[in-house]
Amino acid sequence: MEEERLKSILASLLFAAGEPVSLARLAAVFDDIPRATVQKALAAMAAQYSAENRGIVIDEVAGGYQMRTPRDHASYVRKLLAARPPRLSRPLMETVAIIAYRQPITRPEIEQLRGVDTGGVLETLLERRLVKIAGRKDAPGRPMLYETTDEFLELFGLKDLEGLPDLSEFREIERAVEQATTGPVEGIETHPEDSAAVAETTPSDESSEPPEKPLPRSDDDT
Amino acid sequence: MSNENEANTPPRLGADAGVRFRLPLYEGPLDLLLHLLKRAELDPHDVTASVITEQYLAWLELLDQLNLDVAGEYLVMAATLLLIKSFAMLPHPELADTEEAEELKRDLVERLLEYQRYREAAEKLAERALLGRDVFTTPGETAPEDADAKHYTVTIFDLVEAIGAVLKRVADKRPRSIELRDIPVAECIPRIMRALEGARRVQFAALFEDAGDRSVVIATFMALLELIRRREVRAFQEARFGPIFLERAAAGGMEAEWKKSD
Repeated sequence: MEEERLKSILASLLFAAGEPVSLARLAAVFDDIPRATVQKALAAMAAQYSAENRGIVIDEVAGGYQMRTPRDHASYVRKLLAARPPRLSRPLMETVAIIAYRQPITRPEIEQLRGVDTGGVLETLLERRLVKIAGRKDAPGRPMLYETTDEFLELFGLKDLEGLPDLSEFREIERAVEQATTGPVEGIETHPEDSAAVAETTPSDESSEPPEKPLPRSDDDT
Repeated sequence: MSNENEANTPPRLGADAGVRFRLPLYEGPLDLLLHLLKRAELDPHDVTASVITEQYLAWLELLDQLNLDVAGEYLVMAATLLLIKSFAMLPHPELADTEEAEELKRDLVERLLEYQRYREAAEKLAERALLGRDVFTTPGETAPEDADAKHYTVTIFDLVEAIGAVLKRVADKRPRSIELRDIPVAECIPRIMRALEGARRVQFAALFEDAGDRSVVIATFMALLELIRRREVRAFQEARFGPIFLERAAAGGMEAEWKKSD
């Protein structure tokens, strides 16, 4: 199959699917085309679409490929659809962020971090399928463990958990501990499991922070 | 306010006055502390500064005067702040006390910083191009909002009512022999999941069709409730008072649906 035809069919697949479709599933549609060829075609399409300002971009989201409208068309699309944007309250965002960076995590652990009861927010996150139960922790009471879902990645346009924005430097906390310690040093409590969890999700923590994306924020949010 | 004067209510509306409100202004004591620190242009490391403790307590008092309920977490934090303060004020602090105070302070600073990090991360996440707000995609057939809108969510009362009907039907079948059996709920879970695997959805009553006696019905029902609680199974109706359907819900629910429609 020539590449142009492959790209054209891939466009149909992504359009019809709506949701992110993994490379494996896309490749499975074709009988005789190697996965690498499909991947190359997708990459070429993504570059082409954005270079030509087609009004549709192909993003890698939640472990798959998805056709989306570019962000700077948001106000027009919103007007047409009269869509209610997803409501994301601060407690909800805080909680989902904690789960995203620290998963799998129990409710008491989330509440320890936030300092407040989190039952209602967790319920909402489960209902909206941004979070799911990952099992139970092997600890007294066998508390449930929570983790984020593919829907979470899709909502925030993340390819995978590696794509989460970097947490601010962990070193800052160590510095704080040093500063706060005027007495004997032996009492410093370290939380190896904490730093491990952070290191796991943000391996690039050592390097300088990525520049904040200067994305335009439209003001006609109703 | 004027209303209160007219109504000649008791002069003090204390905790026993009945009506209390919860204020969603701050998301807990850590949030309040960060706010106070920011306003005072201080750092989380300065959380034990007496000006912060005073403002924190003043804030709690204000809440009380406004008849707003103060969650227990706020009071625990107030106690911690006061304890740290009291240590600092001791004229001849013994070594042990100083250490304890330092440890309390260190823990608090650490918690604040950690909380701040996640709050910042949450803000960064919220600034991303959100699906449905900043970017859009074709609805396909899988938009979760659509799927939910078509269906009515089933409450626990609906389920109990439905199981009542099943039990009544089972009771009509006269047992030929009586045998005592223990049916572990855990064993019923895989059976339910298997039944749901085969079909996109299963009618509630059908789940109990080959359940011979009450104990099996009840064990299956308990297993079903557990699965619903764990969000592995979803119960819904297509019409109010219509039959209850069950489908696999959790992670991969969408994925499974997609594969079937292929």
